[in-house]
Amino acid sequence: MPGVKALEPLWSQRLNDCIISAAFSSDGRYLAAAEISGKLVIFDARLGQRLREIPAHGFGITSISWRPGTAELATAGQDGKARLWSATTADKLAELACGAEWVEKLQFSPSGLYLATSAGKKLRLWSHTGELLLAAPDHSSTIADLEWMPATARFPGDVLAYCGYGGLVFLKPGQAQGYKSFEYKGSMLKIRWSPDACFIGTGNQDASIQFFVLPEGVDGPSRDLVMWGYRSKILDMAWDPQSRYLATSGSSTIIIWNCGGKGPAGSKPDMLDFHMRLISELAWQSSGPLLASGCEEGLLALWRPGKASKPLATAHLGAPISQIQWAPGDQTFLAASEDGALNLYAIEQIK
Amino acid sequence: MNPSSSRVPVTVLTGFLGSGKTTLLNRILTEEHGKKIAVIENEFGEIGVDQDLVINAEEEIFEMNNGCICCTVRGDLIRILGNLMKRREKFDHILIETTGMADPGPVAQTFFVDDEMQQRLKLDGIVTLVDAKHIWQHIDDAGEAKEQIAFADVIILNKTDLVAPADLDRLEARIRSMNAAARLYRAQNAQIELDHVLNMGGFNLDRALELDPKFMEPEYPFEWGGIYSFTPGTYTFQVGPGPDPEMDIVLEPAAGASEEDLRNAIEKAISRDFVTIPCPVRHTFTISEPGHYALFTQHHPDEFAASIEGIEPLVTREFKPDHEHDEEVSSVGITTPGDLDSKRFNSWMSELLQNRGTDIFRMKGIVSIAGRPERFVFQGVHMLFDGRPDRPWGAEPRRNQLIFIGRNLDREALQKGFLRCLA
Repeated sequence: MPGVKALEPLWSQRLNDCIISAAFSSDGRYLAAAEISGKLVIFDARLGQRLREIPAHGFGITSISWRPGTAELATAGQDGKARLWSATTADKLAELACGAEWVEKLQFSPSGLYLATSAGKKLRLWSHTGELLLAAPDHSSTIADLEWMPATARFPGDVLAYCGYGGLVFLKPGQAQGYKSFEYKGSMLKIRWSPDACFIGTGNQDASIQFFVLPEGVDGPSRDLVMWGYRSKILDMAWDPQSRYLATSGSSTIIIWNCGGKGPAGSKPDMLDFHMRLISELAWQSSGPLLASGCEEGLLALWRPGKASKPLATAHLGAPISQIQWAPGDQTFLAASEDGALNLYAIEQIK
Repeated sequence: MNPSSSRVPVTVLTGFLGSGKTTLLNRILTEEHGKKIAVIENEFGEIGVDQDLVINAEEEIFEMNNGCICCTVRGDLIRILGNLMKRREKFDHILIETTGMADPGPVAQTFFVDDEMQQRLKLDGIVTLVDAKHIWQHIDDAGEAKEQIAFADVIILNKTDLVAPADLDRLEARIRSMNAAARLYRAQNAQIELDHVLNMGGFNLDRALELDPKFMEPEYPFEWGGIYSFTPGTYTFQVGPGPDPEMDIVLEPAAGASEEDLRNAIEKAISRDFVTIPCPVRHTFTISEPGHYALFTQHHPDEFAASIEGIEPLVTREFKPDHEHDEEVSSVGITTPGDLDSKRFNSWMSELLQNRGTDIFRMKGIVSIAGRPERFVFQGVHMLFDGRPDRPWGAEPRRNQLIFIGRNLDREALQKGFLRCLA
């Protein structure tokens, strides 16, 4: 494509299997990458050197989460366990029995005090040291995703949202079960809170997304709307740092909804075309204007939505993109693929 | 979509509790078949068996919020298979075991509804194990037993050693009346060629539409025929009590005692007046001219323990009953030459699925669209329809072959509706 730069990685590594999850520690020093078949690899994020390899879970890893402000991380596995690790020593700090075989999701709260795990219908809350705080009553369906409310000055405190077939549930540490829910007739697959915590977008199996508008936060009044017409189920979504735009997958076109003013009700989304196959990953900078996207064909693209309708730069990883994450500071981002490629890119080269 | 050859085949194994699913699964996992298989079953506890993999799943069925009332899918399969297909360690085949009482619809629909599943996996077929001895307890009452039979591409009549041959024939006829498109095998202790279960090409439409020849033949007013060699004299047709208080029979002279002679006698017999006899009865008749005669009976003699005293038939044949034993679940097959008007065919099909999709469990077809050099193949589960152009017709005569399997199907309306789509 004329005028589109080729992205060259700062460093490139290859793991032995699909990288199911990858994330930077909050200080940006470490990068952890999880092979789908169970191995966790810790890299020096700047240099791309392998620091440690941890056989974290026998059959497979499903997700990972760094504890904010520390060099500790948690892994969820298909062996019924979540485990806490030290990235500096590779020591196992704790092992948590999550109640069912496939522990699918886990995430530390923004405060770093709590860890939420989901395994089938079992939602559990743990302290950061691995002490079980709550085994919630079985959810009505398998929990497909969970996400903590982002930390904001306006809405302090940790609130967890989790979803599945039937809707969305909110839970606060200290409570015995979910205290609020939004019902939905279909199956919700993804939850994405906006950075200001005034919106939640859910991506659904039935090729739709749903917005929950929460101007006063999750405890205030809410309204919701569903956007239909996607080609496929929603694999990923990403909010821009101002909580105004939600970029969504669901086809080979990136569809961006404008939540400013009275939007997105009645508004027409921006549509970015470049990918030829289904978009699998979307990641917006945490404070900048750039959006990175990846698709099932293995193409990676960097965009500046609102300013240009074609990508600024692209790269081809050769296999479906399984993960994109911006590093703290927004200057670099990683892209990983289903065949184990792990590349770090810098935005400096496109300036 | 990936070409079908690169997609991993999936076999769904259904059958009531005690039908032999576990025995069959264990055989598949232990036998040397050179395939690397992942099994998804329902019981708790994950075990790895040699190079194969067994994953336990909780059947989780959810409705799609897409306005299609019968569209339910298995959420657990989407997650587990989605994960499995991303791994470097690839499997040659995936086997999904459902619980005894499961409706196979949601499993099958999962492979139509979810893009990820469609791209990476292909539903090779649905195999239903039937406990030949105990199925009678369920076949009339449990909707699931009927659905499992109706959905099947392959039906294994298991435990045949526990059942008399005549009862097996009766069971087979009953199953055929419900699902005429499935391949039917008899087995003891789930001993069956694994090729009949794995990679059987159940959704390979050419094979699927190689229907039981009896299904495609016209319907006759009798279920059984046999040729006897009579000398002059009086004979007794001994009939015991059976499911019907009366039975129609006819005796027709035959040229000899070959299968062809029996076939030739059929056409003559259907133009004769049948004699209605009460059941049970000892019906006597006299033969004055020696020679071969074909006897045709409305019901299968085994159902009434019926026989001609002192004489055995030299050749026999069973016919598909003209009355459906099962009024609820049946198959309707349509085979006709000619080209279809694609617009008319599309609108007929879409109207049919809108109105009758809940009752149509499965449909498969190869049709000839006017102006198109390729065959058009399709298959469907309830309201979900997947059709695509296939290989060119070439020298093969262009024709249309379809089959619908479902509940309360109106054969005449389906046939008429389809014929109206011809260009």
